[in-house]
Amino acid sequence: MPIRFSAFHKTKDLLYKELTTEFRTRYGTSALLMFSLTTLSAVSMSIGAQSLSPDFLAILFWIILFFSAMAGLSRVFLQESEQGTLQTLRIYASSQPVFFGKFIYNVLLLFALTLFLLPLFIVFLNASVPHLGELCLVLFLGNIGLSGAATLIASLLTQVQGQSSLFTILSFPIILPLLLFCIQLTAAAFSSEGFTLDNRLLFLTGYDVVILGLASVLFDYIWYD
Amino acid sequence: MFFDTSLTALTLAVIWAVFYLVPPAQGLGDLVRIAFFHIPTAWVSVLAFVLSAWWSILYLKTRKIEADALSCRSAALGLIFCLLATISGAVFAKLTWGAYWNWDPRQITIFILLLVYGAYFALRSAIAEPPVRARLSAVYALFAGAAMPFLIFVIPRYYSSLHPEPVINASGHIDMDPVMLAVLLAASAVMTLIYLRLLFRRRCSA
Amino acid sequence: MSIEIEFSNLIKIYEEKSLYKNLSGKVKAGHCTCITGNNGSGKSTFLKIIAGLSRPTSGSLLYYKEGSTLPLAKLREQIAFVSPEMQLYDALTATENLLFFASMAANSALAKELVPKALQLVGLSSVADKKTATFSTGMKQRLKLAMLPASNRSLWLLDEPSSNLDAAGRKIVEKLIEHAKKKEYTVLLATNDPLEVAYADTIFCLS
Repeated sequence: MPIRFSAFHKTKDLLYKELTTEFRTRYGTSALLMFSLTTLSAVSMSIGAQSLSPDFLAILFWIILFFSAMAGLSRVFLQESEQGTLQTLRIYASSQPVFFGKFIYNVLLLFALTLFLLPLFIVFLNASVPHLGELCLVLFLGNIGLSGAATLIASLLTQVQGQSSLFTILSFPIILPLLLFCIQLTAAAFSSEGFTLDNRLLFLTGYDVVILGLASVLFDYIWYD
Repeated sequence: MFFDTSLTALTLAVIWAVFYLVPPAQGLGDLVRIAFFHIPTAWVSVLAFVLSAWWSILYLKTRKIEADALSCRSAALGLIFCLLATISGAVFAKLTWGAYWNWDPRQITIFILLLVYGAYFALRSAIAEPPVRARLSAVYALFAGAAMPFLIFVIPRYYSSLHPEPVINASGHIDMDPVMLAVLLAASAVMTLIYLRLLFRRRCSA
Repeated sequence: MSIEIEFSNLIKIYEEKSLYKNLSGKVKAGHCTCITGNNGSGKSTFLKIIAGLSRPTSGSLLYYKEGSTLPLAKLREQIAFVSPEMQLYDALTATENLLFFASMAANSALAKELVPKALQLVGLSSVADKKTATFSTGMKQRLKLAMLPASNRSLWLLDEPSSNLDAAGRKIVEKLIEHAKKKEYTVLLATNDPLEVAYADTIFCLS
């Protein structure tokens, strides 16, 4: 019992540290938000006054989200490595609090990004969302899966040269099943037809559970030599 | 030596069977013979990946560098077989339905397997120290391996497919002509033996 | 309480260069042992191997606590490391840095107790609430040293602890090593500096 409590507290402490350092420097979040805004603007300007089908809207949304995630989610480990604090952390902190603290931070970052992107997306591309509640659920589960995979891959790359380009290459095959699911479900949320949260949502949750569980196990092999 | 000779003989026997024993299929005609190359190579590319993941687990548990060498070798062969499967599939698609590529679910799956293999080797080439390289590529292989089943088993059920129905369909009956089935299984067995023979021949230094 | 280390036939090959062949020896419990040698002889790498940050190419490394073997997981909870490569967070204040690492290393209650004392020991109490970004290199080094008492750990690994420090700073290092000896911690020191070598009870020389 005491051991589990302390792991929980340490995870909280690490998350708090991430939020504090990010809040004071605002290095990562502003770049991330600007990236998504730039991409969205480019798309919107190119499309002009045309209205898009739900499928197309869903695809565009997730492409912008995915590439923004690729731009921003590796910072949790990359910056530590560059600053020299990663080694200090490896000595004093045990693996699971580090993984979950950084994972939760990345989830919060993606939530913030989604909160920023979705309204602008609706406004710029004149999209209608008949099933907002279901859409939020899909985005919630999708962001969790995306963060889980991205956090593990980011940690993998701390010991590798040429880090940033490899991040997308390594993450894409793993995130792709999730991406395809989410695009389908998001398209259904954008369309005016009836939406049933069927087996697909179960698969999404299953993916999240498997990826997160495995990432937690594998992280020990990355953190400890 | 004996193994090599008998393997060559078996391969020639299967090739003969594919061209002379198998009757032309309903609808597909003679083109079905490509399937006897395509299906075994696709099967082996998946097997190679599974074995590569298995040796990755072994490496992480025992830290024996031989496990990593086998894992790498298996992945390299898997990549080659995957390429062969993709190309043969594309040729078959062109001849049958007029287009080389249309992101059919099975094509998506095989393409992603290619991406995983490519990413695996990109990762390996970026790490200099052998033990670190072995450990991190093992982690990646396992992580990617966990994501693959979600594609293989789920996507085809959601997208309508131009791909021929799986041989063993939902009701569990085997739908193929018995001769075809026998030759297909023989071709798969021979392909597996070829893969195993190449696997245990040399160690991987990549 | 003290940890003893026994290493035998250690070989480390790094980028096709062999750092040492068949290194064997014992680091006695509660003692201060110094590793010295020319630049590039592998002192820092040796400390990293002891810390578990790097694996030797071959050889055995055993840790003992009061006679029985210490498993690797338990050992990691006992290591405090100071090295030139390790840094602390620029965006956090001195206190926040120490509190964070100390709570990750032990727990937050103990951290709150030990951190002010640690800052006092290294003479940084006056700047406790200033961001580390504003610190000079010497002050940063002192802050890294403050991690040693703050983390409540019993195996201290020091890689050139007096680097970037003035005379007052060196006194602090001496004080810390005395503190460690009093508490019967095991100290492993890697250095070329003759003044630092003088702190040690035993000296290993890597050629």
